[in-house]
Amino acid sequence: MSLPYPSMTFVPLDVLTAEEMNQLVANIEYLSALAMYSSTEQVVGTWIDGKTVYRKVITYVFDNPIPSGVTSIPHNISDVSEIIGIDAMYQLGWDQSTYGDESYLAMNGYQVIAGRQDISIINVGQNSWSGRFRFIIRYTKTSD
Amino acid sequence: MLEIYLNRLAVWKPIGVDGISVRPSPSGVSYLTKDSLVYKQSDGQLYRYAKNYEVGKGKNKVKFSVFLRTDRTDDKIEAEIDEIAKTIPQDYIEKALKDASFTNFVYTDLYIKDKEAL
Repeated sequence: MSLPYPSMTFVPLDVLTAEEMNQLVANIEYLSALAMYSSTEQVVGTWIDGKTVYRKVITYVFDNPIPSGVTSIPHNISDVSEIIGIDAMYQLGWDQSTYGDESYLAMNGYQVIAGRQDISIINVGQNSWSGRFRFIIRYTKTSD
Repeated sequence: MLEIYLNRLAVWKPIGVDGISVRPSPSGVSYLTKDSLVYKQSDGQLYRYAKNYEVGKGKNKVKFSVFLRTDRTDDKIEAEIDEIAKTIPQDYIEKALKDASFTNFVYTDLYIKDKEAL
């Protein structure tokens, strides 16, 4: 991943052309887009091995309390090479309108395991409420 | 407002790319030359060359850039800048970098050859 116009460099007394200013704007817009989260796959960086880093927000709703044991949530990401990171919050609530009245780090009573095929939630005995999981997963792909 | 001197090397902070950076300047730029304090106006294209260099060793290593504007287009320019950049004293560079900002830089008294002298 790189900026649309990665090699721009200026020194004092350079006069920018309209084209160069537009290229600067394109770079700024590109960087701004990195701060936008999406439920679709986004390119957000480059990993230490040079592979492209992707990010995706995954939502999974538990209409009932999270069952004991393991719940597998497909992330629908193909060709995962390496999962670089995952953030998870469990937003408690009775229904859609109240999700997030309280939000917990997933580790508070649960284990979250990110695999190449799915995300596993392991309820280690927590008395849970209904609610909504939000995962932000960052990964590389074998196809790159 | 700093003036544009043709073929005169300036010292500035490191630029964002290593290797030579070449950029055409718009025509119609007013500039001064080594031998004349009368402004001339470019009728053809001027080019801005810039390149990073290092001086000193270990903890005393300093990275800086040298840039200039010229009407030359021959392929000997980079080698000539390399040679001249080596001769700039480290304390001069350090002083220049201390004052450097987005717009501030320091002209040296060093010039590459004029087009006519080639």
